[in-house]
Amino acid sequence: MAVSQETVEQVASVSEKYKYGFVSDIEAETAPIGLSEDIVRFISAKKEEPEWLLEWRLKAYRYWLSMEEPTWAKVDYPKIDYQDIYYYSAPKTKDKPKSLDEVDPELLAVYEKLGIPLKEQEVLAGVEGAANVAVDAVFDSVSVATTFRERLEKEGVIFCPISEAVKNHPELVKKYLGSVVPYTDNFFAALNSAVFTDGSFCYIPKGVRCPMELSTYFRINAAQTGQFERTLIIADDASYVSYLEGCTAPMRDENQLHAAVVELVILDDAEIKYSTVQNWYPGDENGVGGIYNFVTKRAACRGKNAKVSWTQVETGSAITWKYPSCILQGDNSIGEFYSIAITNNLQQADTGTKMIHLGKNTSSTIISKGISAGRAQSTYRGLVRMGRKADHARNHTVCDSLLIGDKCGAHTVPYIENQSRTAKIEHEATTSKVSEEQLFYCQQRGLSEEESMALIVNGFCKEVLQKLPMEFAVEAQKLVGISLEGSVG
Amino acid sequence: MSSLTPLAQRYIDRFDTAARQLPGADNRSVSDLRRAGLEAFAALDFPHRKVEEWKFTNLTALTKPTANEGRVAPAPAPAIPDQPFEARFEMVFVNGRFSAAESRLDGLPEGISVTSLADSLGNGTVLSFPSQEKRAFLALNTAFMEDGLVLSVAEGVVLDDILVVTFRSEGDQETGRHLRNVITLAEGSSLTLLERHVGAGAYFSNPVTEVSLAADARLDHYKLQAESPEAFHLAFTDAELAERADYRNFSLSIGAKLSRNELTTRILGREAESHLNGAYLMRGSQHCDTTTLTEHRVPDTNSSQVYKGVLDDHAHGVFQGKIHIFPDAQHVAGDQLSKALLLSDYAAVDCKPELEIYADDVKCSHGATSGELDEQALFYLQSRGIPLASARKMLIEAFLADVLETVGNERVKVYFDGLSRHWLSEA
Repeated sequence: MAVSQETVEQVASVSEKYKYGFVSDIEAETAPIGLSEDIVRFISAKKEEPEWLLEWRLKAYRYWLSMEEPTWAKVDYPKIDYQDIYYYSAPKTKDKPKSLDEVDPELLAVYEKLGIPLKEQEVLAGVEGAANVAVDAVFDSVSVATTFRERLEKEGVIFCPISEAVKNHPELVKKYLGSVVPYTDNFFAALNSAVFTDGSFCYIPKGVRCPMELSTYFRINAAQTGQFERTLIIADDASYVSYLEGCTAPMRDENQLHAAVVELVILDDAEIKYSTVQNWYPGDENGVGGIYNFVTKRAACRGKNAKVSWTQVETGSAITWKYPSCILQGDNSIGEFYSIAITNNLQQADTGTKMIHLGKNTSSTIISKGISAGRAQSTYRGLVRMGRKADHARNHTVCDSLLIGDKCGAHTVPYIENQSRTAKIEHEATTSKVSEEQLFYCQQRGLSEEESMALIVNGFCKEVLQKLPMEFAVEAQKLVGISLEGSVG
Repeated sequence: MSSLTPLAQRYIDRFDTAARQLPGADNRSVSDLRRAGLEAFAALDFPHRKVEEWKFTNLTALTKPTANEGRVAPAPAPAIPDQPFEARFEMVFVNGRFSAAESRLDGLPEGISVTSLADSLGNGTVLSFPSQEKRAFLALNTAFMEDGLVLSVAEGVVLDDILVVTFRSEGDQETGRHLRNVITLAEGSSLTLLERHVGAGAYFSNPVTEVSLAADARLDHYKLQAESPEAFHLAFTDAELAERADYRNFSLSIGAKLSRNELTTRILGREAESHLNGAYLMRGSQHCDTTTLTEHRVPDTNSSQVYKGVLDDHAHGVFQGKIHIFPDAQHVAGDQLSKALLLSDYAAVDCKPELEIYADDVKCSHGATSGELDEQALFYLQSRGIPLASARKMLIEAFLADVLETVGNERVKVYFDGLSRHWLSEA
């Protein structure tokens, strides 16, 4: 019997599910497998780091040795063998490229394929009239290219790989590195502090509104390699920056570890908008392969009237363990957290936020939408804490979960701690399924069941999608549809 | 086991001597049960704050009393008024033992059997107890239980009146009082129970209540926790519900220096429902913890929870509630609401409303709020000529009114209403 056209289309659509799953054959230089003090020294030497940073890494490593891997999150995975991972892998280059033209064309091709043009004049995703975006491209353990550097320098904005910042701006790095997430913070932060290889560094000087969006694109390519990047963004008084983060990885049967740390420092009247579309390889429908994503992200609103906004769309990774947090220290500072977490097949996500209110009149908003399909488990875990001095602090939390299918789970674990009489906290959460009526209505208008589901889910997520910068919103909306493919019927 | 808390160590050291004097000492199955309880307890010790379920409640004052020596304790909350409650049927326990002299149980309808646990253990009645893994206070209770209420209601029997059980503690006592109540309602029976915990002095009360409702049974279970302001009250209630059973629990907590009211409801039969409500009024340095777990193990079941707290001075309130819906338990509705009112700059509340859901065709929600009295409402009342103090009182009463409304029994409602008004008038 001949294969029908429908089957062909179906197969095509299934293989399109994770279109970033290709492997690029790029010669890499790696450190010996495993983790030891020597590896930490090796990484530090590779990066030509000053003594103080090596000492810091070693302290973190020694501290990490004394820690135990946390088990409180509602995720289930086989024990990670930390000696079976390459902690350093970098594409081989003869000399360090001086400009974009000198970057290995093969690397550029990879990013071209991912839809991230590393050419300065081009505009992302073909959206006309959209602003330029400066991109720092991190490939496995190192940053391979950073665009629009000169343009940014004119404004005084520093945007470069963190390894360069260590050399060129040691005073800033030394002052802020580890000040928001100390290496003693948690197991994965300690590990990251010991072995982080690259990441982005960004400093926005006083009163500057960053002329374009900054973006880092993370790509894991090499097999058996962990990615440990560290991002540090400092918004000085009355400055503003919008920062985007994207990530993908090849499809592989093995699990790969990604343990990043992101630190944001926001001073008086400054604002950082941080958006993430997390699309690491999620594993196949039987849960084979996928990235273990253990990330510590935290923002410190140090100054008065500081504002930070986290927006995340989590569709990838086999395991997600991520709690972007805000420490609202300065009076009147504002923290926001908008999140969509979509889990399908055997994915597990334990994600949420922490809002620590310390200053007066601080306010925070949490909007979290969790969607579970297939046999996935998704958990919202969040903390809202009002300190004794947080007079008139406000928090409003909404977390909604949507279940698609009867084999998945959705969980909500909020912690609410109030020590301030004048603080007001409101928390609401609901869990429900997509109603038959909504589905029926869409279908009788001529949409297929899958299209209907995508439409309804997009509506469910709208509040969060609207917070994303335009280029990301388009991508995220598509991702929502793709991630749920195969979850109905 | 070298690092046990001093109190746990004292319990373990005392066990052999104590077990010989406790009821049921001659009965092999009872002593085996006690031994198992002690072993479970020894493995657990008293929970500390690193234990997730005890994150918000610090038991150091109980388990390491010497740690607090030399510290000037804040003034204890005023003693609880001994408000009368006219009861035709009352069972009284004094210092953990049944007092026949003070109890009035004559005239209970046929089919309602009320006895003391000490008698049941003594005459060899075999009781089955829930698993005590992870619950140190349940295990401790099993090892040292000495008395309690054993109530069983026969098929179809309905008590029109209220059965009151009063647990009174008098005077200081170093070791705890471990009461064990076993309540069984047969098919189609119905009962209203008011459990009162009162006392004076410094003591440690550790009551465990097991409730089992057969098909179509209904229990209205009220609890007043008005222990002495120097006392510790750590209570655990476990209820299991068969088809169409209806369990309603309301707890009013105003006493104790440190208290925890832990409730587990296991809904095992279709169309069964559980409603847990309560109010806690705390001042001084009182600490009150309400922890609930509602398990929906089968489809077509309902549950609801509403807890409200008023916290003054240095008082600390805790609410931890969890709704757990098992796989395939479809068509379940579960709601949960926790509200706390902070009246002082030093009062605090911690809240953890949790949902764990493994079925898709369910509707679950939870809400939690905390804050001070609404300034606009206060201003409005004052603008109408009502003095600030009265206006505050009115608003607090209104805040509590909608949870007190859920008390179905009119007499209990009037009683609880009176107690909360009295509490407010002492501010």
